[in-house]
Amino acid sequence: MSAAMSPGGPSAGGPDSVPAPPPASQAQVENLQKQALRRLFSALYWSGRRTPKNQPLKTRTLRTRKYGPLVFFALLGLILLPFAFPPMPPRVSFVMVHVLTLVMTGMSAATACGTLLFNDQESDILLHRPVPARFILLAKVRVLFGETARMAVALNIAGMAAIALTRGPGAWRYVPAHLFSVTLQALFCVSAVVLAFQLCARLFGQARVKSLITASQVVAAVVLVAGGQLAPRLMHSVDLVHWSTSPWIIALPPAWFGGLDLLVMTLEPTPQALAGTALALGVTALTSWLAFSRLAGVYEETVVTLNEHTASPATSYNGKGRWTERLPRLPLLKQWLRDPLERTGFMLAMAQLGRARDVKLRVYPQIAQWVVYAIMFSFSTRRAESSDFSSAAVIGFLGTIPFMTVELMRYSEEYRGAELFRFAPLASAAPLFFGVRKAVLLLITLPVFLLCTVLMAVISQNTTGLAMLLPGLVLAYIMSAVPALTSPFLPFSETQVESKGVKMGCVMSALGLAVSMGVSAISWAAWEYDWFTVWLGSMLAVAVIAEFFFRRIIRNRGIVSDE
Amino acid sequence: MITIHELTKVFAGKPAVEQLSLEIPRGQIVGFLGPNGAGKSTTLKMLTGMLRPTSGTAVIAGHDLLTDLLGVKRSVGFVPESGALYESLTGLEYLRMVAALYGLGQQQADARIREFIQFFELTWETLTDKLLGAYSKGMRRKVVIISSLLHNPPVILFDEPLDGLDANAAVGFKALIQTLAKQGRTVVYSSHILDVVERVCDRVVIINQGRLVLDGSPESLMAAHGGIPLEEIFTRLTGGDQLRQRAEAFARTFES
Repeated sequence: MSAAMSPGGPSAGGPDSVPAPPPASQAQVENLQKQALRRLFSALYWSGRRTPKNQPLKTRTLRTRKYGPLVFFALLGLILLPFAFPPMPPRVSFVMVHVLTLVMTGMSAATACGTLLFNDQESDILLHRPVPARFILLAKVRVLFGETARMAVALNIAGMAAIALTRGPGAWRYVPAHLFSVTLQALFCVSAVVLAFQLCARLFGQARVKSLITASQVVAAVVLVAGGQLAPRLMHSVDLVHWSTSPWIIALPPAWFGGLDLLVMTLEPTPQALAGTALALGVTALTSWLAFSRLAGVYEETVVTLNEHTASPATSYNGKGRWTERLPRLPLLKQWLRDPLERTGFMLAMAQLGRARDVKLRVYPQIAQWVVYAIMFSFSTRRAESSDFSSAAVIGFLGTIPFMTVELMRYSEEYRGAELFRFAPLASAAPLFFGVRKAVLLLITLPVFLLCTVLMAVISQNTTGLAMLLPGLVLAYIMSAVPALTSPFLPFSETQVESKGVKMGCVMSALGLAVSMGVSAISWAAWEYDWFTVWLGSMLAVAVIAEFFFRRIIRNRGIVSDE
Repeated sequence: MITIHELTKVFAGKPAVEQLSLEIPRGQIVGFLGPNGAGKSTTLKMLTGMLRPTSGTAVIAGHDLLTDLLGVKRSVGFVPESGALYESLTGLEYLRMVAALYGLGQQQADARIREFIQFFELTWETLTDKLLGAYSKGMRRKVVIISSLLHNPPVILFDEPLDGLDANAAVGFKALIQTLAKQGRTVVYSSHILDVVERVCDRVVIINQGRLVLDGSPESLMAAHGGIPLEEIFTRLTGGDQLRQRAEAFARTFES
């Protein structure tokens, strides 16, 4: 034992010298607690900052993470400009601005809320400290509200400036009005999301909240990505002026906050503006009271129950076992997955895609955009003039989806678990990779392929175009092997914060997309110039040869070391 | 200092802790033992207010668990088995945050942290330069132990505190808790390492399947059981008395 570690320990006093509590009033203590919690949750909100082992802390990373999204939101706000300028009527402009703000900030709040409100490890860190759960909830809400409001303001800077400069005298009043309404809307978003979680806890039981949070985060992220693709197209096909003057518009939250803007800027107390303002103020006050005061007790119960949930014995399953165990035992799959290591990789991928929150949040939103594109182009095949082109485009997206998904299966928060494969006597990680690849093909690619086929056959009634999807299927199979060709692949063994991995991922994504789209273009040309059968046959032959060589390359690779 | 009265916790109809009653005076170090799933961590979590008892109660440093939970929490320092902490904070940020939760201002906290880091052979730079996620397991454990003692609690509950500590740190830590007990602090020490418990603790409490099965000083328990070591007493009481024969029988399966 070193001299420093003397048994006297820190501030050793004499016998029976148990020190008195610190000389601070209860109010001072509570203030200290509130400040500490706010600082803590603000840091956790931006918790993406990490340092590699034995490397000094890089605070620049934190600044980038903190201000990067604001710049992103400010740039994203440029898409509001078409609604800001005349001749778009103010009532339409104001509602549309709040539609986009609500979607973006609402989804952002929903994603952050789940992570920040119910943290797995928090019970062991905070629940035994002398802090009321209400303080913890309010500190979290304050951070969530602050960050959501900042994002909302950043999103609206361009639109706000455009409206204030182009709408004539009195338009300057739009700036303070809109800053207030956007901030109020951020409060509405956060309180509504917190209230929704509390109601879920009350209705479905606190122990199920965890799975509900993950599901809601995944859905929110997917809706955000898919909505971003679909919204601009929908806007073109809707008569916004007619839509914004409908009486039922007042049922939608953006109309309330838009009404507030309208009232302050025009100073005209129209029924729409008055009703909107009253609802914006009233509903926000109501949801805030319910979420932060009336149902605050539910939060405390939920946090304690989540702690009990982790402490209680695991739920027993019926004799049939979990679905992850039953699926590979189905006759066809049993044959397809006869290699036990492949089956291991398959089951691991299946479990991660179904259960691991970080994997779900990474994979599903990323592939959502390609799925949306595939579906949109499948719909487009109903138009005769673009039918063949649309079918060919679907091929490209079918090739991109498994490639992107397999590439993302390298990463996991549970990356330390992959050490198992490093010390196990495996000559190569190839069987594990092939299992992961098969899981992606079966669970992700095949459903998308079937969906596109059904859409083209039933909705678009384009049965001849279905043949065009065959190269897509071949491409999907081959492209799903590419991630293991570019660099050694050990499933779920890397953290995504490794910049090398991220940069490589971006380059690979671009290359994968380029190849897929190239095949898609050739398929279209082959269809147009009547050499499609030759092309499909050639593609199949190339695919068989490529698969043979790909397998050899992948099998000859050792297991990537843990560095 | 700690009075536990018929403390019970039931999970999904299955009792994890059943009618546990104990009296632990000031200045005593109690080794809290039991096999896996015996209810040790559940008991400690109830005593820290992390889990609500299904029935029964406890009074800690004069504060009742059911009626004055914040008072209990102020009086207790706890090292959970998980050793959980916020990995995206630096060590200093984390310790300052914990200090503030107990009403210690930054100056007070920093002075106290400096005393601890000297004792635990950490440096100020270690606490400020790296995030906790980049710490070694032993360093993380030291930070968790420091966070449990920063506010000078009269009652300290340790759940496997030595996990991850190197031999020197473990020796220093054991000496520290003995000194703290001499100062009048009450220490409950839950561990699977029986020889540490035997050497450090004044009293040993063994629970099995949520029930108290043995309570006494290590010397008196060994005397009462014919001088056999604590480890053997433990295995006999917790259904492990056939372990050697079972191990030998099982080892034979490796011979083929």
